[in-house]
Amino acid sequence: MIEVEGLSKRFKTKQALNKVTFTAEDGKVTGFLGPNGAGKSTTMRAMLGLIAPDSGQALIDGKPFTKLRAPMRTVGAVLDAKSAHRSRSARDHLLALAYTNNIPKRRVDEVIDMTGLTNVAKSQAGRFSLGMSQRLSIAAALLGDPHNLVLDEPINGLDPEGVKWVRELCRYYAAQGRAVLLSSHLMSEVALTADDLVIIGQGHILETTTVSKFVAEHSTRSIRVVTPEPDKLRSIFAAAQEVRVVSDQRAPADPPVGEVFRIIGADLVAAAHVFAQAGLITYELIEERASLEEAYMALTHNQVEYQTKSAAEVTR
Amino acid sequence: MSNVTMTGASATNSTGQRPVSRRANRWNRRIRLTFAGSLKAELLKLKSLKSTWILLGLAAALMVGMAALSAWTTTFMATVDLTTGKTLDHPKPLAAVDLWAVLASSGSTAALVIGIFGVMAITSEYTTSAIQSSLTANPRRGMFYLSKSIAVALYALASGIVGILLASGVLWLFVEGHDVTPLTDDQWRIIPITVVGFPMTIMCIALMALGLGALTRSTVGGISAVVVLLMVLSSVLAIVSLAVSQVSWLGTLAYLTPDMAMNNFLGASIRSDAVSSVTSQQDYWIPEWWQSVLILLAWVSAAWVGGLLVTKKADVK
Repeated sequence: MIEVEGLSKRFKTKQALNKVTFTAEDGKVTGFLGPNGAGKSTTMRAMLGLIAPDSGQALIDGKPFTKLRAPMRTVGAVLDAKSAHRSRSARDHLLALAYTNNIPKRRVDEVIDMTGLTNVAKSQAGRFSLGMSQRLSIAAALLGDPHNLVLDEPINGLDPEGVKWVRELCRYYAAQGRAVLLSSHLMSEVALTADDLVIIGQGHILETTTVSKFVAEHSTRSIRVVTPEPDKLRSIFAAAQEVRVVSDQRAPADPPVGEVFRIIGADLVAAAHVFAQAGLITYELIEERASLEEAYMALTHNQVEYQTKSAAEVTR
Repeated sequence: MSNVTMTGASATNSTGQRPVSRRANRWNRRIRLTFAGSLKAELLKLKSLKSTWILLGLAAALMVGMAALSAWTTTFMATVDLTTGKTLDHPKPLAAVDLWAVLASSGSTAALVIGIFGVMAITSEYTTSAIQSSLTANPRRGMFYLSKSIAVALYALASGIVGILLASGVLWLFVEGHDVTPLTDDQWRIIPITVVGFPMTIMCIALMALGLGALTRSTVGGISAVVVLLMVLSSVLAIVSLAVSQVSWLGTLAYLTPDMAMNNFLGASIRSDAVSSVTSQQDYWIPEWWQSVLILLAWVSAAWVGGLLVTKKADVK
């Protein structure tokens, strides 16, 4: 379990973290979401003792990271895709890390095997592609078979197979009762993998919630209809004030004929019945949710506006 | 996905419902951060870099080269009549103290290369972001710095020992066939100073450079600092003191620089024709060999402790 309590950190000109507080629980994947520069990496670095916070603390399984007896046994961290000396071979890099914590040699070969680096284990890390470097960083994180995983944008540069593998890895570790903290700037990625959600913007925690709650709260449902009879469709909902019918752009998945509409505020089942009774011809009828990405963008965007507003209030 | 993890490691979680296999338990108990492990890791890190072997090899080669050059000069001078410039029928006997001095002074150029090695041992961690993985594996930064220092010291020491052994071999080849006059009573100290002091000095330079690297956390900055301390500073002070004769104490100041301290120590305060010397008629104070050791050690400790403080406190971004 990772507990972050009131972390604040100021760099020369910028308040990077402002009383950041959240918990990544055992048995769950916690998504740590925020735009670039929001403070995700700074929080993770402060957690791992790489950055000394001005105030607050981070506890990992109840202890500060720097006080742990077996750091690699407790936490596996991916902070950067490129985390090995460019002229050192992948295997030597992992072996040196393993030596520090007395991790047996065969575990090094195991993680090399797991991350698919067997063929390049003896090559210099500087020759690796971004995806390969990312795999090497993940291999290093797994060396101690850790009870907590801290992954800072681990899917950057990975191919689809690698992305799927990381997703499954996170789920697998969580299923074993371990804590996984996964940062990303992509809502869609986190929504697929995480249970809990921590959203950060400009060094402030904006929301701590669960993925399902966030989805329920922030996504509005709508019905996508493609019909050759636009007037008939409009007249059906003309009387219903709470329902809006708007034309929409044709997507590649839509049928090439008919007009595309989005109906907001109507129930799918009720709408389907009405269409059948009215004899409306439809080529497509799908229920859609507004993208989570939009909801998340709105949330972090609001944060920016809130910031400028409060600054204006201060000067008044 | 069954191979993602090899042990029932989640047995340590709060619910504790999973049984732990005996093998996994043994595996788990052994895993912890130790100083020995950390040192082993640092030794491997240096061993696994090509630059280590290039720089240490170059340092040893420079020691041998310098020794060969001055051995050749010394033996050549012995065959020439210095007043007439004619070759002598019977070469003059060589003074043993000159030969020892040849060995002792063969490291001054190599010191610069060793300095680059010491700087890069730590700055390469920062320039390649390897410091992140190093410090997440071992968050005890003092232990990290100390084990890196010991690893660097051992490699530098080995290079110094190999260098002095090869240099002695080369010297022996040159001297073979010449008569050698033995050391006088007050010159004996040049033997331990050369045999023990030379490799130790090389080690000290490496540690000073490591400290400078840790202080600046940049390869360019660290190497610049090493070059200034080992080359520029003493030359500038020496030139200025010659030019401005009224302030001759600047000459003493030059002896306080690391490279002059190193050379003065290895010269063992013995007058010798083999080592170039302008020290004979100076009116300022010149430290004895043992004082020079203390001066060198002061430089090394200052740089090393400075590096330790920065390594312990500075944020790794």
